[in-house]
Amino acid sequence: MLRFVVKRIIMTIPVLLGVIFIIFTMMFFTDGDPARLILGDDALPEEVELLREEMGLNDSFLEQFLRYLTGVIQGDLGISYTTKLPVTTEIMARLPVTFKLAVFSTLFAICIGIPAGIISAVRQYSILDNVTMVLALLGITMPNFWLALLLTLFFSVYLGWLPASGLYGPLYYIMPVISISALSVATITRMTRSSMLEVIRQDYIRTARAKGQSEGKIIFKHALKNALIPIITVIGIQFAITLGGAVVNEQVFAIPGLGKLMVDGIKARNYPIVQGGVLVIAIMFSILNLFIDLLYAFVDPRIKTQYQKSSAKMKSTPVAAAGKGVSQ
Amino acid sequence: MIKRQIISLLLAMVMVLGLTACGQSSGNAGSNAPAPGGESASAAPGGGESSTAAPAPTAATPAGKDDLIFALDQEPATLDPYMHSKQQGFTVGTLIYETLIKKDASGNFIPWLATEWEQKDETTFVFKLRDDVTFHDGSKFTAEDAAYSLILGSQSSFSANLFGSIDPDATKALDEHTLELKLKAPYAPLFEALASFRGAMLSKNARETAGEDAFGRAPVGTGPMKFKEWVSGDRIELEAYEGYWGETLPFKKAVARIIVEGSARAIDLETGGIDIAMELPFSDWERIEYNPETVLVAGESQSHSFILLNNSMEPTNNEKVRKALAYALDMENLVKTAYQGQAAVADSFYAPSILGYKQVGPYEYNVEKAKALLAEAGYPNGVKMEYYTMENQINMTVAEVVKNMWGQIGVEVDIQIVDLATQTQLNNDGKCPAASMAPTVAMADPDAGLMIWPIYRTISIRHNDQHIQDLLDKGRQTYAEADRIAIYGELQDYLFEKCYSIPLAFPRAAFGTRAYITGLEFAPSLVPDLTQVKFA
Repeated sequence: MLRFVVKRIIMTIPVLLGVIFIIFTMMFFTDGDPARLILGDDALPEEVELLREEMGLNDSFLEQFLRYLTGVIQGDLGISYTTKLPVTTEIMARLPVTFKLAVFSTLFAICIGIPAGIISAVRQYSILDNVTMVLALLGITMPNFWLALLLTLFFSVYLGWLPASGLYGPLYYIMPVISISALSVATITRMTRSSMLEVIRQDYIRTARAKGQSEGKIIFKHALKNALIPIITVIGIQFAITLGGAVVNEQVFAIPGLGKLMVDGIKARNYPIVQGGVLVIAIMFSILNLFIDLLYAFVDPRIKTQYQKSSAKMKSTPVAAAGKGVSQ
Repeated sequence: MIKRQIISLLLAMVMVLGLTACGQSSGNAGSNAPAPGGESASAAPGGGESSTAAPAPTAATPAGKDDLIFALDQEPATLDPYMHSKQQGFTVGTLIYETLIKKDASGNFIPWLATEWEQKDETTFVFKLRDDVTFHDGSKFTAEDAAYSLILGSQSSFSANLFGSIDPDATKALDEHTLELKLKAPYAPLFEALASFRGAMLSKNARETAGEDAFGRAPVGTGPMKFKEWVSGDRIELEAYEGYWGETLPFKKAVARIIVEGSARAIDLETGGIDIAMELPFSDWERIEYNPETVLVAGESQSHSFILLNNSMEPTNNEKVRKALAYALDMENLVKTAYQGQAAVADSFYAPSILGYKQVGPYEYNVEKAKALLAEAGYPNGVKMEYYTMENQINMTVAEVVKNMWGQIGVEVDIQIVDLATQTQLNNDGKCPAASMAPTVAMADPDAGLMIWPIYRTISIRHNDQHIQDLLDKGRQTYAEADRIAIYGELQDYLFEKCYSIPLAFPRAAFGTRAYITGLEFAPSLVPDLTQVKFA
């Protein structure tokens, strides 16, 4: 097991290098001159040229890339072009906010989504099931910034119960968490329902019923545990999406998050910020993936044995293994 | 089975209806449709239960209020007044910094940090400074600091358009409280520049010790509020400066919050989360205006927008083509559509609020004449053109309408949507064939109003016309107001005649305040002086 973990961690290094290379190349070849953007239309060409030289933008692609890479290896992500603050400072100022929001949103989604999915599956085709599924459909199709605006209008403008923007206390989290997690709630509900439905029809559930096991135990011990693998996958993906993809919600609620920092960075051609942000998110994705893979093993002993085998010879990916585990 | 499906269908419909009802009653957040939204917005306090948790009498200041919370639409990168040109940074700066002189309501220059001044000759000015002023770090404000600030202004690429005429080598402190300001050449807008928020006085010692980057993130000025904290992406906090020489403000704390989304700023203002919302989008004006708890402060900006034509590129290097393009535009409708009725058609090359403005246009709307001119210029079968626009609503609408109108005379427009960075680069490389632009005019002087016209400017107009530069230089160096007005009048006529670019609109702008905020007037520079704020 430990060997598996170590191996996975080592494997993330080429992935991260690839991410750095791709994002660096993309930013390098994008139109728009950061020096001109900083100085504005008023500046003379000589001044822009001087600043470009100062920022090292006139060096060749390879020189710039190697310089950046050396910095990253030494833990230096560079200096933001606009604020002149270290990129690490900028990112660390935003990361806790984004992380907290992602954790709360995911927790909220789990707390609502899994029970709703179970109820839907157990009472398939009941009114409750239909209502849940329609709501889930809404959750998936509704643009979440629109939901965010509706929530603010209702809870802030009409009722005056919740503050409209910012993150200065517990009350401030309610609306952002609801609107960010709407999609996750819906996805998790649907996944739980379909996964549960599949499991409930299995022979061993019938066996459990036949031997007189209580319905609660059947659902939670026999069915849910076996249905959990695809749900975990979905939760992991949703968590990852909320980490970097809550930009619009951050905008609506004026939350200083990582997504907003990066979008601003792209607009301003603030290369160090964009590269740093993407790198941090890539690292978090990698950690998250590893964590989810380990969680599979925890939930399903069959996968655990696969890991032990595969640490000698890594052939089948955990996700494929998980898929097999379910379809049995 | 079918029954179940019907039930779920019904449920779905109920849901959708419920949501649309919600959407409607929630007013005109996204749209500016006057009909349903207007109703709820203009509803009297009794009728619309829209009132929030705010206490009963609308104009009363909440008890014990001692802070001012205002929302900016963009986060400034720095607060060093000589290292940026963004109105958001200057707005915060109005509380932190002060200038040598100020301009009163009737347009006269009045003493501020300088008590008196004297013009020795065409290029020499002597200012006597107050001796009771200290910086936020406790050190005394001296002529040394004033000279340092202005020399900085003359050399920085952000403010050289205002202070570039100052001679950095000859400007110096004569004694602790006397500043001798030397110019390289006569410069008529000098006092306008000094009185604008761009001419802020900062501490030489603090800036040199901290370094220019760090100073911009923790500035030291002489104003009534001093810098306290900057939470990146979220807010800038200021607190009252105990040693302030002048009248203290009615608040002890000021917070500049960064709320980028326009409707979010409006909602926050309505719910009382903030006291002032800067830069409100047109779609929220009506709601803020009719809400009894908020006040809309609107006015005409000193900046204007125009349609840039590239004079170094086919086909717009031909005067006949440019005029054909101008005559093909139904300006009245174009401006009304794009600015939602909140702008006047630009009939000259700088805003009416600026000295020497002369109505010279707009170009007449005459499709036949336009077609004839285009044919005369050698394009009887029309011509293809690219038009650049940024992705904001106003510019996109302008581009769409322009494409349509130019299409009527056979000019086929290919709209290119780009972001600010790309646009800025293309524009300054001279590669922008046509585009709508709205540069910020830094001060209320024709020299700044005509800032796009100097011959050395790299933006894509590229007229290369020495006559324009001669007139600009003459206007800049002439102190007598009547003569200046004549010079700029001639220049506006000439620009209209040549049609190097087409003036588009004099847009209005607005910020919103809670009803208990008084004294804060609209500023055409869009940088309201926050030291004017009073609580009712």
